[in-house]
Amino acid sequence: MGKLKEIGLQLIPFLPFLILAVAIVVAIYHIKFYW
Amino acid sequence: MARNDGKMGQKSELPMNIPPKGIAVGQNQLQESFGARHPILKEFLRDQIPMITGVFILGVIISYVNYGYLPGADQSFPVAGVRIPIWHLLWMGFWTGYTMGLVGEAAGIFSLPYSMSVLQFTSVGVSPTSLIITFLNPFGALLGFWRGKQWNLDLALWLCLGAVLGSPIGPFIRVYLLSNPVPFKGIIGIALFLMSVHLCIQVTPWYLNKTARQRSFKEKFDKMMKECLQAGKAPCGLPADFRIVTLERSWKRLRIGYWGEEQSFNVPVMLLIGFLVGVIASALGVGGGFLLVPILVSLFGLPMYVLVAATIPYVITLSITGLISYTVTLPLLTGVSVSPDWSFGLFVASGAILGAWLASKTQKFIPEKYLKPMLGVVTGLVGLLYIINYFWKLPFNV
Repeated sequence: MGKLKEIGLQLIPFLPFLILAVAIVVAIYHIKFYW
Repeated sequence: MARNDGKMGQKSELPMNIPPKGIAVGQNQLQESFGARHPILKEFLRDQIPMITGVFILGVIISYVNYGYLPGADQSFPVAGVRIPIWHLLWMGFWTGYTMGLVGEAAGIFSLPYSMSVLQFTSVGVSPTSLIITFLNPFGALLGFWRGKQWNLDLALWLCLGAVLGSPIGPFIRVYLLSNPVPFKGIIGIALFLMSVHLCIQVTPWYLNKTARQRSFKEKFDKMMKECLQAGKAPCGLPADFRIVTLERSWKRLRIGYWGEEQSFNVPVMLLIGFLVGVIASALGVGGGFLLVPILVSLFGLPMYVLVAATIPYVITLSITGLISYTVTLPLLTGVSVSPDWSFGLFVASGAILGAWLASKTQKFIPEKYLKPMLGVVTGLVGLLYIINYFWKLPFNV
């Protein structure tokens, strides 16, 4: 558990990239199904 | 009494907040130890959850009171005129609040183009709606930065006063000069493009060498991150005792200090900056950080970890005065009514509060050299599309 937490903390610098990637996917989904 | 394994005269190695077996503890002690062990979780439960749920519930209540139903994927938001699932509005608030919070800005400069281009909310009402988001969204970050001591009200005061004077003018410009969505998007495009150039240029060696203070701060930040990584800890670049302190304060001059650095500000210049940014930002319906941050960085060389102390209170002040101008002053003086979509804005804001708070907690773990070029490329691409579409109609919707 401690090891997992440590790995999680080291991944924080990549969080903005991940969030932006998901945002692009959601935008494409909306354009496809709601336009 | 704590166990000491027979080693008389030595202190127990048991942590102070974990009671030894067989000793009854009160509920207060248990709560205290929980808060001490999980300070961020405690802060989240105490400050953020009530704020996020409160704003969301307010959105639901206003929907039923104003429209008589809950808009979403099946029934459109009446003012916005679009169908959007509520989870999408929450998500939009979260990611725009998070990414913009990282660079000390409100969600507006991302959520406004997203609302217009992806969600197709293109009426003038999008600007006051966006101001609801930029007003509420920084409160999460504000509390986070305040608790983290990345905070100085003297630095924010004169800029905020400028916003109070300038932001009531912007809504008149929006209604009389920028009511058509195409030129309005063109102006937003210019704003995004400028923001993109500034974000990208900040990580170049030329820029860092030019601004000695930025360079020295970056060197200290990088050194600290390296030390944290070597110690197997999260790569935090700021010391735990980081403070922004006022060294001198008068009507003409303000001097602050942070992490061994000092910076002076001319008070009338700060007031003028606050005023001009206030006029432009309220006309567009954004918080103003996209202009304020580059100006403060270029003129004073402040790192973004210090900038947030000025930009977050500024955005809150500008948004509320701009919103009052859209909903009260403008109709009173001209008879033109521009209503925001309150429920749309409140749903997005509840997600944005969470995003901005998370940004305030993770900002110091994220190196600028990756973050700024990434945001710069995204904003630059969107900005260019808007500008091109103004001159030559693109074959797809932007």
